[in-house]
Amino acid sequence: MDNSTKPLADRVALVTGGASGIGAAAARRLASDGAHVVIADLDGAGALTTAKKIAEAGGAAWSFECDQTKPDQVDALFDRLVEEHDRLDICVANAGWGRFGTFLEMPRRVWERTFEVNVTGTFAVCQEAARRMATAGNGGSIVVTSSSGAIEPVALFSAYCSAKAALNMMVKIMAYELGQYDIRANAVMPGVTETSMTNSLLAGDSRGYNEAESPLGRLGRPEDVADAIAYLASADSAYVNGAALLVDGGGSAYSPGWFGTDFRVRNNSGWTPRHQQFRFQDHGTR
Amino acid sequence: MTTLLEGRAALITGAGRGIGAAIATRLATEGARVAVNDLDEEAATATVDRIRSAGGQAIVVPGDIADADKAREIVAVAAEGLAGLDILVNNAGLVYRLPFREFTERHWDRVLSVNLKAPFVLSQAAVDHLAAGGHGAIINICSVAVIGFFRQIAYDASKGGLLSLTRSLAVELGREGIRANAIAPGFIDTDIGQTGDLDRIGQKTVATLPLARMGQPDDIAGAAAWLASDQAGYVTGQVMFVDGGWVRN
Repeated sequence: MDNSTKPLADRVALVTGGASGIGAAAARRLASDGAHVVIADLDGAGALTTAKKIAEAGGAAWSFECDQTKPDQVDALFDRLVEEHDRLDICVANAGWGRFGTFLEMPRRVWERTFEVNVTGTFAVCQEAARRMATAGNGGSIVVTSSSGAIEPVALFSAYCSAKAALNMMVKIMAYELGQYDIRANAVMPGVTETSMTNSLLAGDSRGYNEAESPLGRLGRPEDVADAIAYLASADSAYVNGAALLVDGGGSAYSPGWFGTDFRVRNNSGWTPRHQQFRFQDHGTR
Repeated sequence: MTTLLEGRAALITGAGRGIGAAIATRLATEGARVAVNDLDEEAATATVDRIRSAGGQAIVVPGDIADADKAREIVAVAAEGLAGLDILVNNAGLVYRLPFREFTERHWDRVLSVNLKAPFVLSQAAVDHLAAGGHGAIINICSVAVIGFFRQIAYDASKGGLLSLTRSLAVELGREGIRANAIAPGFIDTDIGQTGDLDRIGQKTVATLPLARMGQPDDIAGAAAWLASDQAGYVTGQVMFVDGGWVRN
């Protein structure tokens, strides 16, 4: 397809956390839809690699190393963006960070880091993006990568789930306040998706267990989430504002989480991966 | 013409006017063969004529889906006429706006028959066809009323039930490659949204919408086309609010 006839031709998109996983898939997808994509990531080399691959496939992409917990780095990102692009139409605020552990043993530093990256960092990026969109006057679409954990409590993920829940609320209020600038704000909530973030959690039998418990019988792929992001960035979703869309294969209707325990045992600090706690029928591995 | 749904066959109920007509038209534009149902045969035929004149493929399957036998016949005729069925859009619905104390059992039964029983019957009649193609999709048109509304008790209950039906179908049919999702339209510019005092209320409502406009049927059609397609391949059991940011979903 000729670039000028693509659905996002001449649009400028920012994707944070675009070096790998869901962010990289979103950057590739938006570029293939014709957008000029700026890829920001803490991992500058990874962002550059994603940008190069997009360029090799005929797309337009730039990379920028940015730690969104550092205000001066966010400023530098947007200074550069304004310098090189006369508009901003799409912001995919996707960068995130997480560690799991029991509430009783959660180090304060882990809790703080989770909120710094996921909440404060995402706020900073969304605020600058919204300001840029409002100034440019073309409206825009902001898509925040939340998590199914924002609405489903997942044992041992107190910091991560709380941070993602905060993002869902931020998105809804952005939707209210930014509507007058024709800027829409929505969230995608991936379920268990195959990325480097979930890699260690999906080791061994855990993979089969999670596949078996998903109504579609498979884990999510970064591309599944990227497809949803592309929809929310497109004109087809022109009246979708303040929504939080689960991309979880139906897991929210039928999902027990990563870790389980026997609640009958009091003062029990033992949590085991769910696949080890209960036997289940996995035709592949048992 | 684009090709998001090339080779797919779709049945859309209540597609003579409004949101249903917009969905049927959009699915056809995306390459699907569509069966257009409506209680009003003339309106369904008009939708089919418009789709055909734009180069799309469509057939008329008129009838009252509240009649279970008729509903099953509609699915059979659609699947026969389209040589298969991949997408079912349960869109037909009706509303009575009355205070709770004045709501009669007759009102209740009629609303529940059309808005909730018919999607169950149609989905059951269609399930083997949907499974056969390997990429079945059921889309139930709910409402922002799933999170609460007023003076339309049966409608609100039916849409809440339809959302639960959607989730159960998603869990039970996922392994057959069938996805089930709901759309919750907000204040949409159709004749169901503009009668009597609602029009007056409507003007006030628009002022409270972040996007400051009523939704158009095409806004819902955009969501339906996406949910029906492989683009939403990992999205099932969900409700997509298309309300311009109206409700606190």
